Amino acid sequence: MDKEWTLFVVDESPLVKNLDKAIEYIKGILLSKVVRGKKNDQVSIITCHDELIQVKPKRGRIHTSFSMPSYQLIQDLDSTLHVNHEPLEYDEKGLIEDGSLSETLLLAFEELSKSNDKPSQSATINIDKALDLLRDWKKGIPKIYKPTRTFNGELRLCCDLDSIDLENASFSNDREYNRHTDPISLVINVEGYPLIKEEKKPSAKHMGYASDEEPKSVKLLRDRIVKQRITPADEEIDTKKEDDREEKEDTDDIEIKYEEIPVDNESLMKTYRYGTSLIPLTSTFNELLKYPTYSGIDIRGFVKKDRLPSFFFMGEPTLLIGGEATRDRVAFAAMCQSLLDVDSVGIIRYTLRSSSGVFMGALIPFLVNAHITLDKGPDGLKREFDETKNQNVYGMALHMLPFKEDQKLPFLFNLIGVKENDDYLPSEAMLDQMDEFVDLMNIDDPKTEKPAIACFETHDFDSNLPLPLPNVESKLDNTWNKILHSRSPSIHIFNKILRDIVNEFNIKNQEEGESLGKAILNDPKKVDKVIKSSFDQLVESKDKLVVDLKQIDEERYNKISKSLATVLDNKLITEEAKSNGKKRVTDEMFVKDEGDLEEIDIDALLMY
Amino acid sequence: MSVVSKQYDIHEGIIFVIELTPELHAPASEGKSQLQIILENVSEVISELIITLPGTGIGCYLINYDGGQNDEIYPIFELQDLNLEMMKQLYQVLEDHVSGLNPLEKQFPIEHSKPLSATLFFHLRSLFYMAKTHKRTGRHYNLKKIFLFTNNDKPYNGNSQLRVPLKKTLADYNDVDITLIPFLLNKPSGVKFDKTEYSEILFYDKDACSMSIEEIRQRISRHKEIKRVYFTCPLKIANNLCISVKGYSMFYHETPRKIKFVVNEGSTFKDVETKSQFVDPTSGKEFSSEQLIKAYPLGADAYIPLNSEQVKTINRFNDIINIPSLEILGFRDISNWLPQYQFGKASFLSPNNYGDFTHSQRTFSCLLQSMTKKSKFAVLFGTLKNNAAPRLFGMIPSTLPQYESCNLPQGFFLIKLPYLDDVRQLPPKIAPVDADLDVLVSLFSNLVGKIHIKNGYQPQEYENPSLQWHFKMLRDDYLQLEHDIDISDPLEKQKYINSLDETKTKIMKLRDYVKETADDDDPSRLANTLKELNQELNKISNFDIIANKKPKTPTTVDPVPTDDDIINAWKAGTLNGFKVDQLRKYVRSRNNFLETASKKADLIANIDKYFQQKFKETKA
Repeated sequence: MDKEWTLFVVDESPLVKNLDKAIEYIKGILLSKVVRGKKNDQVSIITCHDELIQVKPKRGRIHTSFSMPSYQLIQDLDSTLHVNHEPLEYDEKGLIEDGSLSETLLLAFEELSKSNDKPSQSATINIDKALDLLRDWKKGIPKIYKPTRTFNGELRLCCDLDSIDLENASFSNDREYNRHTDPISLVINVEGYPLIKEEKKPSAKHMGYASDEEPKSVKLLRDRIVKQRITPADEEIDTKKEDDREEKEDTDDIEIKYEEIPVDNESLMKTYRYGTSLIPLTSTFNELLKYPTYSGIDIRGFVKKDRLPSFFFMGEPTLLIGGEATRDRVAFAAMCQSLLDVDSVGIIRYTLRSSSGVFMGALIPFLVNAHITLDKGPDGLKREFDETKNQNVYGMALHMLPFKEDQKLPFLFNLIGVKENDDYLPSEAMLDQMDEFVDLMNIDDPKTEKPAIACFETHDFDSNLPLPLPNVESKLDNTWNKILHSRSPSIHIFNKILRDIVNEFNIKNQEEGESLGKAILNDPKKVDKVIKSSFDQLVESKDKLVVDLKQIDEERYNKISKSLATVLDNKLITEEAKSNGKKRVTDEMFVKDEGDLEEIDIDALLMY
Repeated sequence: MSVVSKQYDIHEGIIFVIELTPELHAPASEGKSQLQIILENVSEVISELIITLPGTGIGCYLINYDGGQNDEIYPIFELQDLNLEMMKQLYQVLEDHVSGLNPLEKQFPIEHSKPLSATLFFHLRSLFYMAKTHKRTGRHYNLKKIFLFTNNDKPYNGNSQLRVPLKKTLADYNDVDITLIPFLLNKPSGVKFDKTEYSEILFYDKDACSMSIEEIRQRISRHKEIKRVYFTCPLKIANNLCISVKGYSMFYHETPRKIKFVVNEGSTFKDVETKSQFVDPTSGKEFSSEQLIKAYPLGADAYIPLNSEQVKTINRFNDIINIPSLEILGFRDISNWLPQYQFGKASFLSPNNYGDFTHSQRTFSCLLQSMTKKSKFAVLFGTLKNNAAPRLFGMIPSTLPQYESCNLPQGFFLIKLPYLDDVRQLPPKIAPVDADLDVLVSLFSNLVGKIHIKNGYQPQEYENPSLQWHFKMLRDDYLQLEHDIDISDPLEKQKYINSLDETKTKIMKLRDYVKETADDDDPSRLANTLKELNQELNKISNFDIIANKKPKTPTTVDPVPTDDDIINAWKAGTLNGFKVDQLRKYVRSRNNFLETASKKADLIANIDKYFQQKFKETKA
C-alpha cells in the first residue's frame, strides 16, 4: 500500500473536551506526512455539530474533501476547527438530534468510498497517548513505497543458454531450440521486487534568495566548456621552474587564470580512457562496444548455505516470487522448499533487464510472512477487512556476487596465534578472558528454540498513523525482531526536528503575506534554538538511540568488562606520545564515502 | 585542494624487475619458460589495473641482459602511467615468442651471471624519480613497489664485501618508502630456492621464499592491491575496552568508465568540462553562490530553509554516542545469521596500529580468535564517519573454518543490517501455494544434491564478461587486431560472445553434463530427474488449462508486430500504420539494435535508420 486515505471526524459540539489536543494531533499527522513527502496520501476532515451547518437535519459537514495534505491545510486548522457553543437539540427520548455523530459517520463512509478500497485498520487510543506516540521518533512511521516489479522473466536450469541468446540476437523466429519443450531443462517464470533499499533522509533542494524577496525556485543549467589559460608568459614560467628554485617559488604566487570557452555539440568528441590513453568513439565502434544481454536467470549450481560467505553479497537484494501461473508458483515453491530442506542456496548468472549487464548472484530461499486478503466468497461479495490472515509464502532473496575484478584483497596482517608477552598476539590468559566475555554477551534467545525455517517479516502494519502496532505473532527470534523494528535515527530525528521548527514558528501566527520559509530565514537564531533544544533532549537520553539487546544485568557486565580491560590493557595514547611515535609509512588510499559526506568523484581523481 | 581530497591523492608506481638466468629461459610449466610466465602475468596485471586502478604506473626491467649496452638495467618498457603503448610493446614481445618469430631467449639474451650490486638497486630506486609522469598532472609516485623475480639464490655469492653495501641500500628503501617484494622462484629442475643469502640482506615475509612459478599470480595480485581505506574509528568491545580499527573496501563493482568528452585540437585532445549554474526560470538571471539557499520541501506549498551549519548540527550524532565509533552489543551463533536481512557491500575490519589506543592488534586478534573458536558473529551499533548515519551492523570473522577455501585476509567483515525504514513492502500479488509439494520437493532435492559446486563460489573464477568485452574491444581497436568473424553482424557477434563469456561456458558445461546422461535409463540420473520434474509440472499446467476454460474477456491490447510485419511495412513505407505502443514494444524487444524514443516519428526514424543500414550492408 503506497497511497493512504485518512479521514478525521471532528466533533465540535459543546460536550467535547480537549478539542485543542485533537487539533494538535491532526496537525501533527498532517505535518509528518508533508515532511516525509507522502505525495500520494489523501486526507479528509468531516466535522460534526459545525456552526456552518444550516440545513436540517444536520448531518455533519465535509470540512476538507479528500486531497493531498498541504501546509496551507495545516495552517487553516486552528481558525476553522473550534467548539460550537450553540446548544444541542434533543429529541423526545433525550437523544441528541442535531448533527448526530451517527449521521456524520454515514457521511464519513460515503466520503471514504472514494478511496475504492476497504478500511485496513481501526483502533481506539487516548488522545494524550496518541500525542506521545507522535512525539517519539522511535515510533516514527517509515515512508512506504508502492512495490515496483523489477524483473519478470525466466528462472532456468540446464537450458541451452547459447541458443537462447542467439535466438534473441537474430531477427529470425526459426527456433532450433525450444526450452519450453526441452525435457532435460527447466523453466520457471518468476517476478522480482525490491526487498531492501536504503532509505535516506529528506534531501534539500536549491532556492534562489535575494534579501527582502521571497525565495524562488531555480533552474539548473549545464554548459560544456574548455578552459584556456590566459596568464601571460606561460612558457617563461615553465622555464623558470626548471632553472631556478627560488624564482619558481616566486612564480607560484602568480595566479593562473583561465578563460572559459563554450563548446558546441558539433565540436564535442566522445572518447573512452584506456589508462592514460584516449580512444575516440565513432558510432560504429560504439555499436561494437555494446555487450548484448537478454533478461533471464540461469542457475549455475548449488552450494551449502554456510559455505557461501554473506560478506560476498553486494548491493541491495531483490525479492523473487513465483510467477502468476499455478505451475510457476508450485515449481518455485517446491524449489525453495527443497533448498531449505538441504540448507543450500543457488548460484546464478542473471540479467534483470535486457542490455543492463551480466551479474553473478546468489538465491537465498526463505519464507515470507505475508498479510494476505482471502479470496472473494462464492457469492462474489467482498469480504470484510478482518478476513485477512498472515500466511507463509515462498520467496528468494537475490543477492549480487562479486566478479574477479570486483574483489580487491590486499596483503594484511597475520592475526592468528598465541604468544606470551607480545605486542601483537594475545596470551592464553587473554584468550580465556575473551572467551568468557563472548559467552556472557550472548544475545541468542535461550528460551525460544530456533525456528526450523526463518520467516522474513516485512512491514507488519500498513497504517501511517502512529497507532499501536497490531500484535503479529512473529516467526523470528526476539533479537532479530528488536533489530528489524528499530527506526533509523538519522531519518526520524531529522524529521522530528523539522516538525519542531515548523511548530515553533507557530503556524497560525505568521505575519500576513510572509511565508514560513521567509519567516525562518529572517530568524535563524530561533531555528538554532529549536535544534539545540531538540538535540539536548537526545543527548540526555543517549542510551535510547541504541537498540538494547543485552541479556546480562549491568552489574555483571561492568564486572566482566573491568577484568577483560585489565588483562588486555588497551590505553588511550596521548597526543604527545603520538607525535613522538615512529614515522608512519602507508600504502593506503582513502576511498569514496558511501554515507552523507561531501561527494568526491573518485573516478575523476583516479583517472585524473 | 581540500583536506578530504588529499586523502585520495595516491599515485602507485610498480616496477617489475626480472633477473635473467639460464634457468629462467628453460621450460618450466606446460612448455613455457619462467620468463614467459612472468611476462604473461605482467600483461595480465596491466589488463586488471587498467580496469581497477587506471592511474597506476608500471615499468618492466631486465637485469643481466646482454643488450650490448653498459646499463645494468634494460627496460622492456619504462615506468610510466598505464597506457596502450606499453600494452602494445609487451604484446609484441610475447607474440613474437609464441609465433616462433623471435623467441624470448633471442630477444633477451643473458650477459653472464654476476652478483647483484648495490649500484643496481640504487639505479632501480632512482627510476621512480626519473619516470615520465603524466603530462597534465605531473604527479610523482608516492607509493612505490618493486617486484623482484629471480631464481638466482646467490645474490652476492658469499662475498661479504658485496653483501654489506647491498644490505644497506636495501635498508635505505624503507626511508624512501619503497617496498621491495621478492619472488624467489624454485628452479625449473625442481631445485628449491636457497634463501640463506637473501635472508641476510632482506627482511621479507615467509610466503616469498621458495615459490613455484604457479604461485606468483596470487602473490602479485595481493601485493599490487592498494589498501582502500574506507574509514578509521575506535571499536568499543566492552566498558573501558576500546581499540582502533580500520575499515577497508574489499568489494567494489567495476563498470566501464564513463564516456569522456574532449575537443580535438590537432595533435592533442582538450578535456571538456561541465559548468553548472542556477538561474531564475522566469528572468533567466543567474543566482550567485551567496544567493543560493538549501530548503526542505514541506508538501507542495511550503519549505524549510536551513543553512549548512544547521544541517550539520542536526547530524551531530557524535555528540550523543561518541562517534564515529562502533560498539559491540552482543554475540550470536553464526547459524542464526539470516542473509536476507543484509544489504550493501561489506567492509573489512583490520586493527589500526597507528590509532588512538595501545595494543589494538593484540586485542583484535584475541576477539577474532575467540569468535572463530565459538563460531559467533557480533551485532554492532555505530557510525563509521563524521556526519554519517548511525547504523546496526553484523560483524563476521573471515577466519571461520567454512570460509577457509576463500583464501581471505584475517579480520572481520562488517555488514549493514536494515532498519524498518529500509525493508520494502511485499508485492500485492503474493499468494501462498495450496498444493501438495512432496513429490516435487523430493525431485528438486535430488537435483540440488547433484548440481553441487564443490568449491563454493570463488570470485576469482568468474570474470565480468561485459567489462572484459569493453576493454578487449578498446585494446583490439588500438592494436588494430583483426577478428576472424564480422562482429558488426549481430548474430556473428553473439556467437563470438558466446565463445568468450566464461560465465555462459560454465552454465553450458552443466547442460552438456546433463545431456550426456539423457540416454541412461537409471532414474537417479540428472536428465531423468529433470524429465520427471517436467512431467509433474505439466500435469499442473494441464489442470490450469481445464480449470480456466471460462471465456476470457476480449483483450484490447494490440499485438506486438513481428519482424516480418515491420520489414514489410518498412518496405511499403507504412510504418506509420502501427500504433505508438506497438512500435515502442517492438523497439524494446529489439533494444540491442534499435534505440527507443518517446515520439512515434522518432521511433519510425530509428527503425528506418537501422534497416537502411542493414540494407546497404546486404547490398555491399
